[in-house]
Amino acid sequence: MLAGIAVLFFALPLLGLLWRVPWSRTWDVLSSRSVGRALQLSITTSLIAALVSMVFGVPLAWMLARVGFPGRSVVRALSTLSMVLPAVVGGVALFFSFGRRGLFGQYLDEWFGIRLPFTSAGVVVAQVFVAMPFLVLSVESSIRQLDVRLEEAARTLGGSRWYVFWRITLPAIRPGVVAGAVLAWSRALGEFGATITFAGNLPGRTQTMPLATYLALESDPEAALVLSVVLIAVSFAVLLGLRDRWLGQARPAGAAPQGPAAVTT
Amino acid sequence: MRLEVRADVTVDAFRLDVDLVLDGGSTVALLGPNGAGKTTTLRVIAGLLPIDHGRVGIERGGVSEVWDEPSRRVLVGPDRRAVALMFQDYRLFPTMTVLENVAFGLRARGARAVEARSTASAWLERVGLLQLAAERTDRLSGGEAQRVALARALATDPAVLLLDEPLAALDVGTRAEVRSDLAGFLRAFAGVSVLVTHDPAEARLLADRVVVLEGGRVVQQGTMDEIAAAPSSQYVERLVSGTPSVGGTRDD
Repeated sequence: MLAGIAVLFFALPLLGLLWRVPWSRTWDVLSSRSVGRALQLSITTSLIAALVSMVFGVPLAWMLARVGFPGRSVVRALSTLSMVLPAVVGGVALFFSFGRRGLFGQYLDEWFGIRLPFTSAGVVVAQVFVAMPFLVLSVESSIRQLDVRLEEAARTLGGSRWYVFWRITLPAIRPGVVAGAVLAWSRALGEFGATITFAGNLPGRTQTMPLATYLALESDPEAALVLSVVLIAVSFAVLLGLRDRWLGQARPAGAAPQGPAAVTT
Repeated sequence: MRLEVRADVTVDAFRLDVDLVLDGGSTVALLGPNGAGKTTTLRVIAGLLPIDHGRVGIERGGVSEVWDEPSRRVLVGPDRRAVALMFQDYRLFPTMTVLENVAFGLRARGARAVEARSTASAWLERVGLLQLAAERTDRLSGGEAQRVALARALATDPAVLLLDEPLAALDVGTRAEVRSDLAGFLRAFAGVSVLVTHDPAEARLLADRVVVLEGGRVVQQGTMDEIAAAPSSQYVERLVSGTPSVGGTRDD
């Protein structure tokens, strides 16, 4: 009963949205140049953000799970802070540190000529800032569940730490990495607050789908509906497609039983 | 070839303090009750457990190599010791085929894929399992998994072969057959082999010499007959005079 109410709670807003969509205008809105650019920008930046989160997040998760060092819980809290922070606050923080006059941003500009605000790179930075924690938490928990026995065996067979990570650890935590990457990607795709605060709202460069949707709501509510439906469709398709294929088999592969050996006690 | 293990290490309130010299071409059995430190000793030799004090080293071909000596800050990782450890629970890699499991150590040491596969195939043939090369490891019976684990350990051509309760996970029916095969492989092995067991019959059949451990210390060593003739403690006496145990208990 309560579960049914929960399902309705998620389904009804969707229904309300679909009910009001001006289907006859859909094609006009979608084929407009600004929408096409926003959609393209959203997809590109969110995929890059997911990739960047993976490249830096997997090592961070490994460190949090495996390396004992003083202040580990502080580091974990710090690197997952942006999950609970309002995204706008994250955007403000990014602006005052990596903005053109920010604490570090002025040197980025002076020394490397890198300017993040009002660029697509800035969009990616804002997205990574809010999305990476989802990946880190997911990967850290799969590394923690992983049994060290197989890694030990691989080490005694002559595998260096890196080789063992690559051949044994990574395949075993793959479901966790994929789940984390999907979460991070969907968070990046939906990112609004940090993007508009830090990267701005320049059509074609920093105006992503959520920003375009919000702005359309004021000028052309029907277009906002169409944009919302597109975002929903893209996210829903990906979540649906990935869930069964990858997340369904999210067992800790390292703990897989091996013949009768595993049952002797 | 000679392996010297002078190790003092404390793990979770358990202290292992042993002094062993093991010669090439012979098999030594570490015999003792649960919690005596048998598996811990193997982990020290393999490099999975760094010691607190002492020295672990090997001398071969007139060259001596130090693997672990805390006072000189020397510690060689498990991947750079010429040691193979066959775990009691085998620890075959479930994401790989049987052949890939056996080839793993060769690949990890930088062998090319083609060479690694042909060496691994040769080892699978030697243990009589070449027909299972492409199988996944979860399809194997206990005896087959044991032989794959042995082939995987021997394929890297180790100087030291460590076997942790190699027969404990097998049922009594297959145990006798696997034991005689294992005896053959141990006789052919030129390096140092160390076998952990709590079964005196197994120690007698597979090893040349026996080291009895109790509470993290060596209480007696010699041939099985010497030990049976003059047992140094009640435990050893009960062990060597009693009927051979058939228990499949897991150590540590």
